[in-house]
Parts: sequence; structure tokens; C-alpha cells
Amino acid sequence: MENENSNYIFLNSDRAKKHFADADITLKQGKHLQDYGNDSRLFSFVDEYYDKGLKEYYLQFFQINLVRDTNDNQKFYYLDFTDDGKGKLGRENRSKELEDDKVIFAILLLNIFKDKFFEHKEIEWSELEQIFKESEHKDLWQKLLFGKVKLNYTPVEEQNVKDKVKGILRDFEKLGWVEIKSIDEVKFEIMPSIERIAKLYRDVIGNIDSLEEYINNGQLS
Amino acid sequence: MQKEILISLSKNYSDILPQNEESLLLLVCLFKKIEDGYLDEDFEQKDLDDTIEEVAEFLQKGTAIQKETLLKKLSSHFCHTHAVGNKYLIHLTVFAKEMCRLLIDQVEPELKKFELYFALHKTLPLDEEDLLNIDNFSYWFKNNFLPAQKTILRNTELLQTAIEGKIVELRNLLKPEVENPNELINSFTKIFKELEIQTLGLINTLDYKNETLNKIKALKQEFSQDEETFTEFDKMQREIDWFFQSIDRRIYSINDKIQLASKRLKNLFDTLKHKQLFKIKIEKFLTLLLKTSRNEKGEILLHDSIEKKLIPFIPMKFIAIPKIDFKYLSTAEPQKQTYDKSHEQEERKKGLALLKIQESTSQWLDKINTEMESGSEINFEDWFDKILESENNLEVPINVCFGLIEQHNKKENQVITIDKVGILKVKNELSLWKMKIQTTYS
Repeated sequence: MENENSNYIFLNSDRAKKHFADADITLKQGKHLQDYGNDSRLFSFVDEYYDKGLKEYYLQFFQINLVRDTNDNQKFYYLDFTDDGKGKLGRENRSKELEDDKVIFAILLLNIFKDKFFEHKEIEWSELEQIFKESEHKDLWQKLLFGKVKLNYTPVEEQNVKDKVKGILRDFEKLGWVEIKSIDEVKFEIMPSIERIAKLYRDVIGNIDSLEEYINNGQLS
Repeated sequence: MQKEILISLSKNYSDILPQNEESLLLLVCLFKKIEDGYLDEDFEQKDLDDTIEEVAEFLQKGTAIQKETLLKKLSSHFCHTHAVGNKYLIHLTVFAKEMCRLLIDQVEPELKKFELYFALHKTLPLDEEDLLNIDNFSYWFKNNFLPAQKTILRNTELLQTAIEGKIVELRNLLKPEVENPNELINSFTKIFKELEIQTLGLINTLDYKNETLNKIKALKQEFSQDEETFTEFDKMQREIDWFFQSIDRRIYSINDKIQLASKRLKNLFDTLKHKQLFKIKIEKFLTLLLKTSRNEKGEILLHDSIEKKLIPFIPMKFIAIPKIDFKYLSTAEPQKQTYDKSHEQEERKKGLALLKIQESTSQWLDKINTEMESGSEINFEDWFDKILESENNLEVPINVCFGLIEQHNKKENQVITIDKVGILKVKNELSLWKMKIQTTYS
């Protein structure tokens, strides 16, 4: 009994012996834990002990937040920097910048997720292709993805874009933002944790009109 | 056979299908009027004219509809005229009626029709008498099961289409231009309540279907007495099984969609405004990203005003561990290479001697070139002796000689004069021609 830790109750549990190390490593690798697939057990552990010292543990020893968030009535957990800084994850190789192409794709997936409010969030390549080639902003998409707007693209150009999308999806899967069903067919499910991109860019999204005006004025002057 | 059908269809397709909007609407109007009792099965020309006018008015085409052409087109497959006394009466063909019924069902499915449980109950009753022997069962299969398949599938498809259509309409709820969204949600909630009732029907359907299937499966033992009976039964049972499995999948998928949409509708009330606003902002952000980002040499780059964001991320480091399969690992000493040391030394000596010759040749060529550049004439036989004496190797002066000739071939300002006067070199039993080299300045 004297070895028991009253501040971090979770450390006394048998479940911690089983799951804490895995949950900790997974979270530190940037993954968003949710009640889905193989992560269900880790999610359940974090969910049970979040208020029983787990949240405090990260704040005390790493000076980072273990965040509990919800989207579409589903909970998910992730590590985030506090307003005061990056804590112990501030050192080199303990954080990463979200690449530009991934920001655009994450916002696209978030938008699709919201569009499919009443439906399952499973996406196939044909749906993405329809956005790139037939949507209102098809020209902008093609300019970004292919580098130019053409009537037809060569199979190599098409394949390059598909490979690029596959690469992004693989990285998103590591973050827990999507669950890939078939990488060859580019079939995947968007997870509720895609909401994180909205949290990362909440200041921009909240002031989108001002930002648009600022950029437009900048381009004019 | 299939080819004949295709040929026949390609010849007649313009007659067998209504070719324009007015033909289609006219047929459906006539069908509905007959069904609702406003027209007799056999109607008069005047009724037809009135209906054409109604369609023209609806389409706002006025006199643009060519009555004669229209009637001529429809007369082959859709309506027939016959004389009764001094009157001409027209009736719609069975083909026209069936087509109209299908079209109406397709565009305006009635939710009440989707009660699959009743469809199954009505079309698929399996009495004890049907199970008595293989003939009875076969009769049930041909006369009840096979026709029922069509009805069940049709009902399932209609329900699926209706639900998908409603779900697409639901997306509008998140759009900014929706007026009075609460009222709209109310109306959708009503629709989805009806659909939820259908779900209960679906569950009953699955139970009823399982009951039927179990009854059939229980017959297996009974019909396994002779091979012929069993083969016939087995074939029918497989077909029934396959059909029910495909219905199962469809019903589960429909049920999932209804449940999900109903659940979301309930949650939408409180948060509608916030969700609408947030969704619009995300769309705007995406559009801004698309408009302001650029592709530079295949790399997508955001506009400088959009800040980069950091996320906690400790990469996993993989350490490459040698993959050793100990089952195949040999414990013996590594095999040593065997080689002939004296041969190696000889080869080395040869190599060094060759190198020495090349080096000396190059040095002598340099010396001769320097001499030539100072304007002197080179009498090669003198140099030959000098080189041979110094190097004590005949190969060197010979190589120098070849080197000079090669050099001469490349340079335009060097002249080689060869007098074919033999000079005997007694020492080496060698005879040379007299060769002079001189640099010319033009």
C-alpha cells in the first residue's frame, strides 16, 4: 500500500501495466486515440483514467495537455501543446510541422466529413476524383495537384497524383485521422478526430473573412 | 438469340420508347386518368385531345406539340384504336400501362409500399402442404418463390432509392440559404419517423425470412433419399439461400442508413446554427487554400500568410537488426581463399615493369618535345641510342618512336622526314630507317 501513488491513481491499476506504455507511445507519436479498431483498448484505458491522474501526469511531467475532444458524438484523445509552450516536447525531433499539402487535404477531408453529416464517412477514390475533376473548384484542384489545368492527363500524371494522395492518407492514418480500408483502391474512412485540424486552425477559420480580405488586398497592392 | 434481340431493339428503339417529354407525360397522364376513374379504359379522341392540351399547357409549349406526329409515334406500341359503331375508341396497351406504373413508382415511391414484411407475407407463404414432397415444393418454388423474388427486390430497391434521395436532401439543412431550418428539420423528422417504422418492418422481414429458410433447410434430410430428388432440392435451396443472403445485405445497409440519419436529425436541432456557420467557414477556408496555394515543381505550398502548425510527434526509430535464421546458420570456420603467392608476385612484377616502361617513354617524349620546341632538329637514330643506353630496354625507344609518330599525326606544325636508308645497329641486331623530326613555323 505504501508504494501506491495517490496523485496518479492510474499508475496503481493493473490496466496501466498492460496499456499505459502503449497508450503513451501512441499518443507521443501524434496519434489521436478513439474507440475504433485496434486502438479501442488503449482508448478505453485513457478514457477511464483521464480524470484519475492521467491528464495531470502529462501536464506535470511533460508540460503538455492530454486533450479530450468530441466530434460527431464520439470522443477522442490527443496530446497538444499548452498555451505556455511546448513543454518537454519542445526539443528537436519531438514535434513536427504539418506539411502544406497535408493541411489542404485535412481541410478537404474535414469538409467532406461535415458534408456527410447524415451518412457514413467512407470515401472511395472516385469521390475524390469527382472533386478534383468535376467540382466547382476543379480548376484550382487540378492546378495544385497536376501543376496545370488540362482536358486530359496522361496515365503517369494521374498515377503521380494518386500516389501523392495515398502518401498523405498513410500519414493521416498514423495520426488516426483516417482508417484505410484498401490503399490500392484508395478506400478509407474519415475518423471523428479529423476535427483536430479545425482545432489547429481555429483562429484562421474563425477569422476567415478578415484573412481573405487581407490576402486579397496584399495581392492587389 | 441475344444478337437478334439487339438487332430488333436497335431497329425499333425510337418506337418502343417515348422519344420526348411530351410523349412520356401524355402516356402517364392518360394512365393516371384511367386509374383514377376520370377516363374509361376505352376513351375517345376528344379525351386524348384534351389530355394533349393539358400536357402542352403544363410544358408551356402551346401549339408547338405536333398532335399528328405524336399520335403516329404512340400508335405502334402504346395505344391502339378500334372502331365501335361510328365511333373510334382508343385504349392504352398493357405495355404502356406497365411502363407508366414502373415510371410512377420510380419517381414517386410511396413509403407505405415498402413494408417488406407484408410483401413477403403476401408473396412467400410456405404452407405445410408445400413441404410434403418434392413436387409440391418444386411447385411452390416456381409459382411462389420465383415471382416473389421480383416483388421483394423491387420493394427493397424502392426503399433504398427513397432513403438515399431523402439523405441527399438532408444535406441541404447545413447550407446557409435554408429558410426556417427548424421547420425543415421537423418535416424531415416526420419522414424519417416513417422510415423508422419501415425499419421495424425490416426486422420482422428478416425474422420471417429466417423462419422460411429454416423450414426449407429442415427438409434436407427428407429429400436426401434418392439422388435425383436431392439434386433438385439442393439446387432450389441454394437459389433461395443466395437470394435471402443478398436481401439480408441490402436490408442491413438500408437499416444502417435510416438509423444514422434519424439519430443525426435528433441532434441537429440544438446545434443547427452553430454547425451551419462553422461548415460555411470551413468551406471558405478550403476555397481560400485552393485559391492561394501554388504548385512549385510538384510541391504544394501554402500562401505565406497561412501559419504552419506544429503537432507533438516523436518519430519511431527503427534499428536494423540483422535477420539471422539460426536454423541455417553454419558454425564452421569461414572458407579461406586459396591463391598462388608466387604467381601473384610475378603478375605484380610484370605490372610494375610495364608501368616503368610507360613512365620512361613519357619522360623521353617530354625531353624530345622540349628539344623540338627550342627549334632543334631531332635525328631519331641518335636519340634511339641514347634512350637504349640509358634504359637498357629496347621497348622504351620503340615506344618513344611510336609516340612521336602519333604526336605528329595530331600536330600540323611537325614534319617527319623518313629516308629509307637503313642504319644497322649491330648491338641489338636491329636496323632502322633514318628519321628526322622538325617543328615548322608558318
